[in-house]
This record gives sequence, C-alpha cells and structure tokens, in this order.
Amino acid sequence: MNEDPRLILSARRPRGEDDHEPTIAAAIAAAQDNPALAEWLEKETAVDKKIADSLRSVQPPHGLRDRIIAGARVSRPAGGGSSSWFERRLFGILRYSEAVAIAALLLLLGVALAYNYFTQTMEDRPWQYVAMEKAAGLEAATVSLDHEDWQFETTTGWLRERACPAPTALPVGLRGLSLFGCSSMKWKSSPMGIVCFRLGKDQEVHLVSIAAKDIPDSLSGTPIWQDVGGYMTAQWVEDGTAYMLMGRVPRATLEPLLAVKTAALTLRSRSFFL
Amino acid sequence: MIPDQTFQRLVDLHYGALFRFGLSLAGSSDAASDLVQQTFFLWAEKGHQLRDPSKAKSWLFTTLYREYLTTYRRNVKHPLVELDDTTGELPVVDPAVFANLDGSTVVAALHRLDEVFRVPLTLFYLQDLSYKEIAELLEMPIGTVMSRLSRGKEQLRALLTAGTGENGNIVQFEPRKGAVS
Repeated sequence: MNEDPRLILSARRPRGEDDHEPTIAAAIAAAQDNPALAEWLEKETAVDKKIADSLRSVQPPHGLRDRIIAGARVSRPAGGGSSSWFERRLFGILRYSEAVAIAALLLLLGVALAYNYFTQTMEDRPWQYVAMEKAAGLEAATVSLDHEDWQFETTTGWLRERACPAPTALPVGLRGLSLFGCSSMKWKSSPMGIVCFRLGKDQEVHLVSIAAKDIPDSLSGTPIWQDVGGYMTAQWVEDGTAYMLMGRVPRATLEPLLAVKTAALTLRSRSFFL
Repeated sequence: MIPDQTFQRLVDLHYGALFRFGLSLAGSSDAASDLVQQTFFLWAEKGHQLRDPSKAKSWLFTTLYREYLTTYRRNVKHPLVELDDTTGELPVVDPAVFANLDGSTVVAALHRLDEVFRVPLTLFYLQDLSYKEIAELLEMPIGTVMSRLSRGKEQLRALLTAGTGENGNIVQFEPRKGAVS
C-alpha cells in the first residue's frame, strides 16, 4: 500500500467516521505535524463534505418506500401487496423448474385443446366430407389402402367382414374401370366403406357406402349431384345403403358411369346395380 | 421470517442511500428504484440467512451492486485493472467553488466518470461504508480502493470545476451517453 498520507486521507470520510481506524489515525497525526498537509486536509475535507452533502440531498422517488415494503411482502408468508415492479420482475424470480413445469402444463393443455377441437370438428363434419378427406389422402398417397385388390367380390367381402356396408353389385358404368382396392373408415361410429377405381391414366373415382339410417341426409333412389370440397359427387340410397360416387372430375365425366344404370333403373329393377 | 418492524426499520435506514448508489450506477431514477426494490426483495427472501446482523448494510450494498452487474451490465464485469498510484501532489481545490453544488449535478458528474472510479467514489460519498468495507464489497485490495478514490476525486473535481461558470455557479451536466434509462 502506498504510505503517502494524502492517499490514505483521501479515503477518510469527511465526518470523521474513520478517524479511530489506525491507518487513518496515523495519517491524521502526520498532518498535524505538517502545516501544508494540514491545510490540504482541511480543504479536502471541506470539499468532500460538500460533495457528500449534495449527493445525500438527492431524494428517492415518492412512494418507493411503500413499494419496497409491498414488493418484499410478496416473497414472505405474510403475503399481500404487489407493485408494478413485482409484475415486471415476475418471470425473473420464477424458479427454472417452475417455469419448466408451467411450460409443460401449457403444452399439455394446448395438445388437449387441439385434440378436442380436431376430434370435435371431425365428428361435426358431414359424412361426405369425411369420405372426401379419405379419398384425397388415398390419391395423394398420404394414407394407404387398407386392402389392395382388383376383384369386386373379394373387395366387398373384405369390407363386410369389417361390418362396413358394401355394394352388392357395381353400377354398369363402373365395371369398365379398374378396381384397385378399398378402405374402411367411420363417421360418428358408423362404419363406411370406400372402393377405389382408376379412371384413365391418372384419375380416380371412389364409391363410398354407409348405412342410410346412420346419416341425416334425405337421399332417395335418384342421385343428387353435389360438389364436396372439389369432388363432384352423386349420392343416392338403395336397399338401406347410402352411396356416393365421387371424383375430381366434371359431372359430365361421372354421369356416364351411372347413365346406363339410369336407363336400367327405368327398364329393370330401379337399381343402379345390375 | 423477518418481523415486519425489523424489515421496515432496515428499509428506512438504507433505502435512500441505496437509491442514490443505484442512481449513480444505472443513471436513471426508474432503474435505481428497480434495483433498490430488487435488493430488498432478495433481503426479504434470504436476509435471515445472514448470521451477523451488523453486516446487513454491506449485504444490501453488495447485493444491489451485483444486481446492477447482472441486470444492466450483464456482459461487462467490473474491471480489475491496476492503476498507477497517485503521485504525491493532489490538487488543492477551494471549497468555495462548490458553494452552489446540488445533488443532481453531483450525480450527473459521477455518472460521467469511468465505472472504475465511479463505484468506489459513490460509495465513499454516500458515507455509509468505510474504505475497508468498500474494498470488501468490490473484492479488491485496500490500496487499490485508496488509489481509485484519490484518482476518482481528482477526475470528479475536474468535471465539476470545468462546469463552473465565471460567476462560480455549477453548470448542470447532461447525462452521459449510454446511461440506463
């Protein structure tokens, strides 16, 4: 340590709080024997006192004391009180584990809400849209066929084994298309079947079947035409089963697949399926 | 748990000085208030762990300083550079020059000092801590504290007298650029 008395006395508080401390006391004693040093110390002390007094005259903002008391109470069992400061610091004082637990809880809640929303939405959607999404998934290959087959009898047999309604015969127009499989699905717990056909080189049509008693639609033996999410559909009921022929094609492309049967409907047993 | 009366007495004794220390460090009243509140909040949580009650004052100043470093100076630690010892002849300043000195001018001038000098000098002028306690708080040798106090005073007085007009009044300083607001 530098033993220069002036350096030591620079650390002396001007009101004499440190005068009893041995190092300071020795430096003061040295100043008493040195007039120049004594004069310096007198002015040094006066200046320090003025600066210290000025600094101590700065007052804390009104209300700070109350906010301190209120804010500190939050951390103690006595509880009560809050402040804007506390709110700003809230996340800063959360323990890491608490933050992780809260984040996990929020994530679970989000997943539960999303699942609930999704399932609720699926349940609320008409059966035609559920079938349409399945068809779109099959066409985009985002979902796979449950059963790959090219024969009508074995394909419909596979569906019936799974309690899915299935056509007993194909509309005559569909018989010229290549059948390549089927899938089962459910709408509000009612089983549905979907049989898939190739139309030309790169198009597909699908024949969907569901028990007529399970759907709210008032379908009849005469097909109604309806666009369902970009799919042209023909929907009708026969022998207690509701059918929907659907494809991402114009109505004019689908109509010939049923046209012969329309004639048959008139001439024969009023059935599309011959 | 700390009794309410004890806690309030502690607040009454030290919150003013702590605020002024925070003001000198952070440069704004809001930031200083936050630092003081956070310091007492931590005291309410952990103060009872302090075995020696006489150390409460040092604990509060140390905690506020650490909170400042953590919150406002996250990436800048207090530099522990050794400075040359002050050579003997310190300038003698006439106390009359500072006759009209006010608190805001001192705070502004302190804030213009390098932090190396500002922190010990503010603690010194607050008069709550001895130079040994300041050395302990800043975790530096006593000789370094004395040296920084001496050099810091020199710079502070230079700033204050440079702002002195012809009539002897102290001219207000603008806050230093980069001050926390």
